[in-house]
Amino acid sequence: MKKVTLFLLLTIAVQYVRGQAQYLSKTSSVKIFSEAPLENISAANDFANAIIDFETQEIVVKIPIKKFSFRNKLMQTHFNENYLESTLFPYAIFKGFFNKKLDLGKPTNISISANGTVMMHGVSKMEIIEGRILIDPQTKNITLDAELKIKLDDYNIKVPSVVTYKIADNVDVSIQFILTPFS
Amino acid sequence: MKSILTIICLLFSFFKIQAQDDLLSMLPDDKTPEAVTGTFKSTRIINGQSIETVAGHHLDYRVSHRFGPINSGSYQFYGLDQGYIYMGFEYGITDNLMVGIGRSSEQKMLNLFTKMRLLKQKTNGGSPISVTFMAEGYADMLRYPTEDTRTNLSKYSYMTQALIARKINDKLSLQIMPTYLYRNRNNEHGETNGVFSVGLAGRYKMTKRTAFVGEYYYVLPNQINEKYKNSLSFGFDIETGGHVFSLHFTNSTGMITKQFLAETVDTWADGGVHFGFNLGRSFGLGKKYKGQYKVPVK
Repeated sequence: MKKVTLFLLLTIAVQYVRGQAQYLSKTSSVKIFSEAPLENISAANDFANAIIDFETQEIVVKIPIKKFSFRNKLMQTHFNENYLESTLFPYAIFKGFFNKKLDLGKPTNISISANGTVMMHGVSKMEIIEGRILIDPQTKNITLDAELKIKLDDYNIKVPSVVTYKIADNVDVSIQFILTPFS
Repeated sequence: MKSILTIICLLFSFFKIQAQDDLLSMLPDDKTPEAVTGTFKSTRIINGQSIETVAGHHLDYRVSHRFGPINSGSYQFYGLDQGYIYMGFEYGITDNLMVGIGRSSEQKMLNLFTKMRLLKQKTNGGSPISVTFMAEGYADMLRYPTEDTRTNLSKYSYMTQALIARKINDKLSLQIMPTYLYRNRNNEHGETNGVFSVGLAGRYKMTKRTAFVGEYYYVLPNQINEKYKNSLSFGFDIETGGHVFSLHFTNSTGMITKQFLAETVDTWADGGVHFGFNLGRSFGLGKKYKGQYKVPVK
């Protein structure tokens, strides 16, 4: 009987540890920037979500496209209607795995990369995303920073020739997440 | 003992299900109602207004042209010899309130208007329609002969309009606009000063940047002289960056509501159709747009 109880407790403990290994984003910031000869375009989005399972080293990021806010509202309309087609493809999703095994118990500040698929505008593409991870075991906060370049052509985002001087071929994306344990 | 084992087994299977749970499905969906954008491409459909307003701190410069009737023959180069112009500036005070001023070469008419978005169509269980309120004043700047004994007040007219629209799907948008026009002086004997009418308009998006548009204003009977016809227009919108080009055919010469509503004399039936176009260019104004527009380097 005692053995059974112990076993039960153990399984619960394992489950508990598993639960502890999953971190969900508390705050997020996604910024896009395009630099072209005629215009600079930038937009920000604070509504992205990320989840990391440190057991499997898996990371999933989900960015609602409609929540990108541009200073020039006409650009925002064009971004949603003509380029990203946000009613058809409402999210940009990244599903990938970290290249390093991380120890949540000790303070860490290292560069890391994640290898996986970006799904955006109806196109899935393998990408390696370089970033930096900061683990604070005291506050249980994890800060994740990443920067990447998105080649518009790869995601079937066509820029008409009349505006090629206004929109860059490669758009810079910078991402920051602060994650806390998932309960 | 057996029951405990069963419980353990159950627990295990439960854990297993949990573990299989996809990480992606654990992330919340974006469920907040979001305002539907781009019901129409610009603040005008063809001649009349659309529910769209100029975005806050943005300035829109508009130029419109209407040529003469196509049935005027080769001597008039099918109408292209004559041209009427409308020029206007429109400014968005906020995202939901705009003001505009314009001038038409026809009747040398000055117009001043304001448009306010009262209700916005939203996704995820928000409002199913958009409603915009429109009010406009007109001043006729023509010099009339002194024996015409016109008072200054007779040169003014006013219009108010409710614009109700729904973007039915990604391609199709429909709008209905009950309109009331009041003229201090009517054009013909026997006309009423106030004119009630209902307009219907639609847009069908063909590609990402082109759309087919149509607009019809029905004037309720027994208000205006029989020589005036209802305005019917069809057009084609092309969007390139910050510009919207709109090419169209219409039986009205006037480009402002007072003129096309109550002063349209040509009809589609006998070829009294005018070719015309609208151009619009939008600018962001204010400090935060500084540095956004660069000077081209050659």
